[in-house]
Amino acid sequence: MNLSSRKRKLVLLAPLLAAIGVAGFAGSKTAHADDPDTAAQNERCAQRLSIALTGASPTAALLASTNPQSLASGLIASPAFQDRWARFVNSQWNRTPGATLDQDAPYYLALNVLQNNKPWSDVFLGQYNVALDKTVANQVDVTVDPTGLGYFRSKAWLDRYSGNELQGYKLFTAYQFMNNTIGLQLVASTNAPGANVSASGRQAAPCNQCHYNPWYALDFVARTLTRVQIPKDANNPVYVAPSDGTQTILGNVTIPQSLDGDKALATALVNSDSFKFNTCRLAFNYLYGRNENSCEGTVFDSCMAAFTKSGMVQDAIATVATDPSYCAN
Amino acid sequence: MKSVLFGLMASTLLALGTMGCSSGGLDIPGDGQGGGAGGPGTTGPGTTDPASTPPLCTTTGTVYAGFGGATLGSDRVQAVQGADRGRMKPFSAIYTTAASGAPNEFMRVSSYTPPILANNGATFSAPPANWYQEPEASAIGIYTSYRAAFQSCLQVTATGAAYSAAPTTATATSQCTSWTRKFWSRDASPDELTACENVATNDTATESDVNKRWAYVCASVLNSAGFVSY
Repeated sequence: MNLSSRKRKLVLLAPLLAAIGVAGFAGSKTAHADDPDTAAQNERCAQRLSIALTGASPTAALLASTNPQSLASGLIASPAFQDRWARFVNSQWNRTPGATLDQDAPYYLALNVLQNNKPWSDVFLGQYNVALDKTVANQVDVTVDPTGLGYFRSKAWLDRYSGNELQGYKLFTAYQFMNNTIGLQLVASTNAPGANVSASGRQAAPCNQCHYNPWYALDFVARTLTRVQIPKDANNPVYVAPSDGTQTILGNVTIPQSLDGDKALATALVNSDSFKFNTCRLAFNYLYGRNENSCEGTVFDSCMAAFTKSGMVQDAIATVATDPSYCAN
Repeated sequence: MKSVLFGLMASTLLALGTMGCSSGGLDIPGDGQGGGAGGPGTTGPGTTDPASTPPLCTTTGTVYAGFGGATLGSDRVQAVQGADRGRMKPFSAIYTTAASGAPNEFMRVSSYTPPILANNGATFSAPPANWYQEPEASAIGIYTSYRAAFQSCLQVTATGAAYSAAPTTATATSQCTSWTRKFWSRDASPDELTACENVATNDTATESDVNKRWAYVCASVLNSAGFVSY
């Protein structure tokens, strides 16, 4: 929830409160780091860490700690954190829960990466396949697959985001690649009836502002990927090799025509500062429920440095959670 | 007793309404988010010239470049460090089954898990499998939260000499001080204590059952932002 949305809620409540005219317990007193009651301050810190990291009420040991932040690493290593973080990123990378379990491939792979202490980039570049177990109902397996590319080549995920472009270009997939890795946010537009939504129609303004002109030009990025064979089998789409030649995308990244175009795209995205930035922004959203603000740049920089050094998302999160500012007010 | 309940609910609404605004620095002149009718860069009656506003912090960190020369973080809200806190506690933190052995927030402060929460996950934005949802306050959620708080508080005030007589100013002050510290993990401000005392000595005056009367006072503290948010 951001500042403005919270303010809107407050404004909505105001008339009711004025009418009733009852004074309440304003939760407006700020508990600062200079609170003389250090036991109370530690209790608040323990609550914040435990609930934000694991979703659970703090244990007695954490509540009694004179330095709860020193115990953050234990929380981050816990199964409760692994599950909650995997759920969190899945909700950030998809608009809704999957219709089938395997459509939630990001959840299962993120969980697997955390459980096995793998680099966070494995979620997008690791050699895995995420699929329903063929013998056990309601079970999803993450298996090692030399042809895998994080969850990007897992069939249920591919099919979910194969899109409906007339010639089979996977515009939706292209967007998901960029959204999931670097946090690109675009809002889909609704066309007027009869609008030309073909590739040539998209070259006209204003469609071209997202499809052809910017560094994230969706059509050019989609040309690095396989295409859906047309006519599309909605239940079991078939993908054909890209055929549009070398593409220059993301400003100045050249991707040759290849069945591994998706791998080159994902690698370029994950190797960027934008990926690290988005990972730390995810960490802030997880811990604060909002983006970092203008005065939290120093903590954000520490997060970037920690993530750059180890490649572990746990380190990025720990950097923010253990900074004194996290429990200061 | 409905009138008591609704009066106390109103207290709770006011408290909840302040969540997320608890650390100051949100009403920032010239930031376009508040602090005057004018948008960024405007001046006039009721607004402050941004140029005359002191910086909120001395360093804003590194500027990172993204693809296509984009400046990452250019969308950052202008606010002091640690501003905009007070997230609603998730359902997983306020309710756990006894069988799980896991702690929950009601149990932590009142030694009792309100049974009304058992089938109310959706009311508190409990997400489906594999999913995450940031809880947000809602009318039904606040109402249910109040009922849960009242259930807990009925247990708290069922026995004990402190709850065997109707509240007086002195006993109300004592209990309000104790409950606010325990439930909110901080000391109440003088205004907050006064509000709590007012619930004890005035708002609940029509309640003849003294244990229940104390429970209403307790619930008004337990359903406040200091407890339902973190």
